[in-house]
Amino acid sequence: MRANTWAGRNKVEVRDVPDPRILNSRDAIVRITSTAICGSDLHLVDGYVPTMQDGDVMGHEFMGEVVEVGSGVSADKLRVGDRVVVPFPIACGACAACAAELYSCCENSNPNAGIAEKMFGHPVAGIFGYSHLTGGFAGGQAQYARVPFADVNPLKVESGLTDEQVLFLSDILPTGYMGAEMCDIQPSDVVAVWGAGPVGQFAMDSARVLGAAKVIAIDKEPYRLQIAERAGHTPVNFEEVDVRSRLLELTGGQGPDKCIDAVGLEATHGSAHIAAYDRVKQAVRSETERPHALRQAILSCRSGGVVSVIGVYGGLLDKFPAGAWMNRSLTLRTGQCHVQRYMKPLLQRIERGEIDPTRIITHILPLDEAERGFEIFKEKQDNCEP
Amino acid sequence: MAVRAHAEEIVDDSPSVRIAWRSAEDADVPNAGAVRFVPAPDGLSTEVYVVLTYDIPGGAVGKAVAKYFGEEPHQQLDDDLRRLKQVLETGEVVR
Repeated sequence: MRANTWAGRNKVEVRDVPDPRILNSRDAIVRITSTAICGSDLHLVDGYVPTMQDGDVMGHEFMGEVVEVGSGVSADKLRVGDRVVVPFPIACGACAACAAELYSCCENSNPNAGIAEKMFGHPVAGIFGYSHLTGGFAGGQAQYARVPFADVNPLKVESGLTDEQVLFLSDILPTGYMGAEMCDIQPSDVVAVWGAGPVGQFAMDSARVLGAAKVIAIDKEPYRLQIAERAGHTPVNFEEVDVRSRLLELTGGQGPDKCIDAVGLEATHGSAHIAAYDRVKQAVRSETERPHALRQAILSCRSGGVVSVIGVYGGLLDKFPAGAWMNRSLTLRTGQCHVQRYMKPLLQRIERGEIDPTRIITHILPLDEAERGFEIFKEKQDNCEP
Repeated sequence: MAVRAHAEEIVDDSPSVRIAWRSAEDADVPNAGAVRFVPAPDGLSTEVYVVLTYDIPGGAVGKAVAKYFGEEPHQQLDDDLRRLKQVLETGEVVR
């Protein structure tokens, strides 16, 4: 089959690879009808996530049709022919983490749990196409994918919704939603979101759905800020204004009640000397992250507020503003999304028309043009517009 | 466990509580150990504890070599226990 593969730092390549096959009794094979490039795929391609290997099949956002199921998958759970969206974390459904609905921390789905344990203190779940730290599972930017624990994970889509309407249930819509949910939003809340990419846009829409009074979008790409503004959110361009001052102006001097970091470890920064500091530290491998957005969110947040982190971090960072966090009674909440927890309720919100996931789609390409897709996304070419 | 049953002598077998063994005299890696099963604080789960004592040929150098090749007993025991948990909770080891 054809698949988009990691081919070393800054390079992906669509190649012929062996078809996936059933390896465990609870596996299924899915023929992929739609997949997406995630912002976190850029972290892999940029070389900031360790343990990638040449030839690894990329992609953790995919959906399609079940073409084969293992002997351990009962027919009432999943059958050949079912149309499914596959969540990016692989969960066993039986461990203590799964019982607590902490699916991305599943204790049984990562064959390389030992490596993850050394890196993170405790292991994390397997993830499709997302390095060997999370199991080395082949991803979904391919014609077919093997889905472990297929009786637990995939969401069956039986209504007539299009692929474009439901594909993002695999990751970015639940991720954005969890970012807003962790904020414990109250009706009078002003919510600021750092990063107006796809996850950030969904965090903004979710904050609105959960009742926020005002939602602020912080980015530097005019087209992203325009998309946010069209959806009713307030844009702030960090290359044009000082973010903290602007946030004070927008909130009567208090700061946003809730702040969401939808940027993560490769932030860009308006302040050249701070950007240079983190770039140098990353280059000499004494820091793995450039956490500008997180620092700014913590410093900007109203006292007693919540800073919710859904941007991806992978290792160690410097200059964490612990003083602001502690002395101003901030709550810091985070997690890789527990996608399985949100798929059904969010599918219902899409069916009811409360959330329109298609508003963030800019390009639809065939698999063989994945390399161009990565280039457009990384360089933000053509305003990411077709 | 990586230790082979035929080279062991079971020295304690208290059902649901403890199993202890000692290697036979001609074992490649002389060892002794015990597995204890303890009710977890949640009242539903079981905690499994393994104590393993062993004598790797070659002393400290032998241990370092074994660790390099991923065959150091502590590492093997960690991996084995993880796989045991997977089998008990999900029925198989995910590949």
